[in-house]
Amino acid sequence: MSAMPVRRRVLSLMALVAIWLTASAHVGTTIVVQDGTAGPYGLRVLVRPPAVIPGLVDVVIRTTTPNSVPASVTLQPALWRYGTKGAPAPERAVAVPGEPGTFQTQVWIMSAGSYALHIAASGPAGKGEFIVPYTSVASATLGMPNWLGWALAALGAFLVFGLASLIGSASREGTLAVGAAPDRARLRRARFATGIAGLIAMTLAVGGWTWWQAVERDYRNSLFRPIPSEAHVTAGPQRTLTLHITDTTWRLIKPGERMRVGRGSNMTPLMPDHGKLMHMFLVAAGGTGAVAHLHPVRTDERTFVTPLTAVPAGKYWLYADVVHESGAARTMVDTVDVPAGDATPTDVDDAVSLVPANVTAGPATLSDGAHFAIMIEGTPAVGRDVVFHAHLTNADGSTATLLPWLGMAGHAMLLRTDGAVFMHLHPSGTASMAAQDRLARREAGDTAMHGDSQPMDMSAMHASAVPGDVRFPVAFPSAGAYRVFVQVLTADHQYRTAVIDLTVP
Amino acid sequence: MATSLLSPTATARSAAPARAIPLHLTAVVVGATSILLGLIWDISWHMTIGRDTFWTPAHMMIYFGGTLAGISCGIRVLASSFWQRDSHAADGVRLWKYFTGPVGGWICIWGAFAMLTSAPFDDWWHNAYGLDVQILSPPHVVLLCGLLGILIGAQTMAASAQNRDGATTSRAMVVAFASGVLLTLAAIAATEYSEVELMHRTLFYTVLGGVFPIVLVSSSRASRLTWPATVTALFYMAIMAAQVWIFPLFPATPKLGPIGHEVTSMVPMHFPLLLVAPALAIDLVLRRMANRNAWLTALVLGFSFVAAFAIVQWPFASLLATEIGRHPFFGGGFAPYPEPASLLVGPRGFWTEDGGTPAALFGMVTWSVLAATVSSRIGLAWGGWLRAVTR
Repeated sequence: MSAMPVRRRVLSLMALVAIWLTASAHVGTTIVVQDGTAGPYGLRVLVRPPAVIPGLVDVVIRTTTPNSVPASVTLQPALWRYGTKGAPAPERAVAVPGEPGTFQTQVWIMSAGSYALHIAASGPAGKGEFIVPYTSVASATLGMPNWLGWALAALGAFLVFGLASLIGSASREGTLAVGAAPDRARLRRARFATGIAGLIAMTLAVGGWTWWQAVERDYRNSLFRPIPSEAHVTAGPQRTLTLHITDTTWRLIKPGERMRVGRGSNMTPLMPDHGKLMHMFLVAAGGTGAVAHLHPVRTDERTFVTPLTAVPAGKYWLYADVVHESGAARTMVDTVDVPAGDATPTDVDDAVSLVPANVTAGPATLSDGAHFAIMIEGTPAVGRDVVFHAHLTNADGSTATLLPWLGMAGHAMLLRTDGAVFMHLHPSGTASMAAQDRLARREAGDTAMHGDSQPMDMSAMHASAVPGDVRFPVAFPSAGAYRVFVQVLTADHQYRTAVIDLTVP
Repeated sequence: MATSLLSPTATARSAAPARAIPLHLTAVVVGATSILLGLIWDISWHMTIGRDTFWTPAHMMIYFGGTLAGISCGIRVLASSFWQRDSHAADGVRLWKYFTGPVGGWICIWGAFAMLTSAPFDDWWHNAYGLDVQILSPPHVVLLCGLLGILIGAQTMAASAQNRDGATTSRAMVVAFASGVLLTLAAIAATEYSEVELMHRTLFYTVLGGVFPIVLVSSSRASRLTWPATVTALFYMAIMAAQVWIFPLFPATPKLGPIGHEVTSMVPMHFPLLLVAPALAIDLVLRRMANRNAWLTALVLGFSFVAAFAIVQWPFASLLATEIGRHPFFGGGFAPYPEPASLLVGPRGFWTEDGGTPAALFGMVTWSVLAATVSSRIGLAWGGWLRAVTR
């Protein structure tokens, strides 16, 4: 484990710290785009998170069924432990002028943790509702603009000076009879009072400043960071990647133990998300090179292990998604050095692509003559939702047939090329579907026993074929150069991967 | 008839015809009252509705009070410094050579200025660290200093009017009322230490013994009423009892979550503490010890405060802890919306750290009397100055 040279370890640690600085669940963002159906209405929900908690989340709801538009849409944020019984009344979203079928509102999120955003729509065609999971975290501090800092310092100094002067004046003349003038003793006393009052006021100001710095420190400590973990790969005929959670507070609830609430509210047990307890993504550092979507198996409370097939030796960025039973999604981050080697795969759902096909102007041509196209619907901009539309055609031009992979038509990953933003996308959106299901069951009062959903056999989810036409809604949390990977499973049981590069202004 | 409320030592110092209550004093007392009531409303708002903006009526009352006091004192200062220099220059105190104004006016202006300073600071604070969920944060303390400044300014100005223009019942009553407003602010600041569960504990008597005698003793010294501290305490009790009875009449629901229990009407603050008893004791002591050594007087005052307070509040707390305490009359059936419903059922237990042993009792008496003595001594000094202030 300590075989890694110290220098490289330090370097990878520095890279890790660089990633931490902007990281959160998913990495670098908690922005959510999720599609759903509320009765007869298809809706796309965009959740723009605040940087500080408590804070306002901005929610945009677009109708995706032009022939069935709701007249009214409401939003109710419910913290997972409380449900809608402990939530304020639903907030009515306002129709956005000039954009028919689009609604927008802002709601207060008071705690960090897993929230169920209850979206309800009603109109002439009927009514319905669904849940969008949202994990709130505090992710940033706000600097003070120079002018405000100077203005406050000046006002503060004036208050200190003013207090000292007025106490001096009061003790000099306050008790004098009307018209009388202060004698020498009074003047001396007044000077003394001014000095003492000034000293006390300055002491109070310094005390206030110290207090402020303590608040700032506490706030910085409470900012979200990925839970500390360490990954390493053992070389040899059966090359193995091990991810070890090193955080000392990582302690899951064992049967019969009381669940901790409050500060530890995100530390409920893990539950599988579309059948797997962990979805791990290995991306060659820089984003150009091999990419793997793996499903490590948990060997003890803190350790996840997977054989590492095919990928060439080198430095890799690692992102590991897990979902807690509270619905909170969490991503672990590390940089790992992969030595040469190979291994026999043990999970048919693992997908490795050594050289993803690059989609530039037109579709990429794959080795068997098939074409893989990725179109962007909408204009990429910070905080706006767009759709990546993947289209796979056979060599003869007909639409390819896909096999459902982990219960869906495809998976996609969005990576900012500096590694600081990473999101795992599904055709339904960016949120965890397991979280959505669990929050709905909890709200209904159904069983939400710890550990009642564990990894299941996914073979049933490979059953029926779907056409090679897949859409992934997403939004960009920040400007920069991005690379989007789309992976599908074709009818011949081959994983196909294509990437598209774009810049968000 | 009216003069029977006045202390026999009260004498008119000036025969000059003066308004019963000067206009700027009226403005400042109205401003201070508006600030206090706005503050109580705001606290209830945060316990009930949660979400607020700059424009809530409670905030408007606070800002109105600050503005009214600040501007009326500002005008008064400008008038006596410049265009009414001849008639008023001699009855104010000078500040920075060119400006003259009443002492209380200067304190009010300072308070208004501190309130003004806290506004951009608080706004930035909300954006940096999230919606404020705590009462005590640095920008809120700046604001509280400002509010305190205006309330102390009102008390000072009332005392100076009484001392300078003659101690009529109405002028002495205004001093007691301004002191009552100040006492209520002190009680609000000490709310966290005033829970029923704490009322059999050393901490309760020590903290409150440190807070209340300053105001009660200074009022007893400053106001020329026969029973000044008692009247001051009655003002406090009337204000706090009224809010217990009035707020629940207005339906309201929380607009922030998570919500711990069902809230259907405005949540009031606690039922008032029975401060009338220790206030009466303070008035009685000061009548008998008018010219004795200040520290000795303070010691007697401190002991009397704790004894009189404990004799009534201790058994009253036992009553409040029962189901009777949850009756709307006492307001114990209400809690802020985030609190769990379990808080509102069953008898309330007392948090005692020491189980009532003789040693614990000795510690309780020692600490609370010590705090009340120091507080009384400060109250004597401040009250003595208020009794003498004429400008």
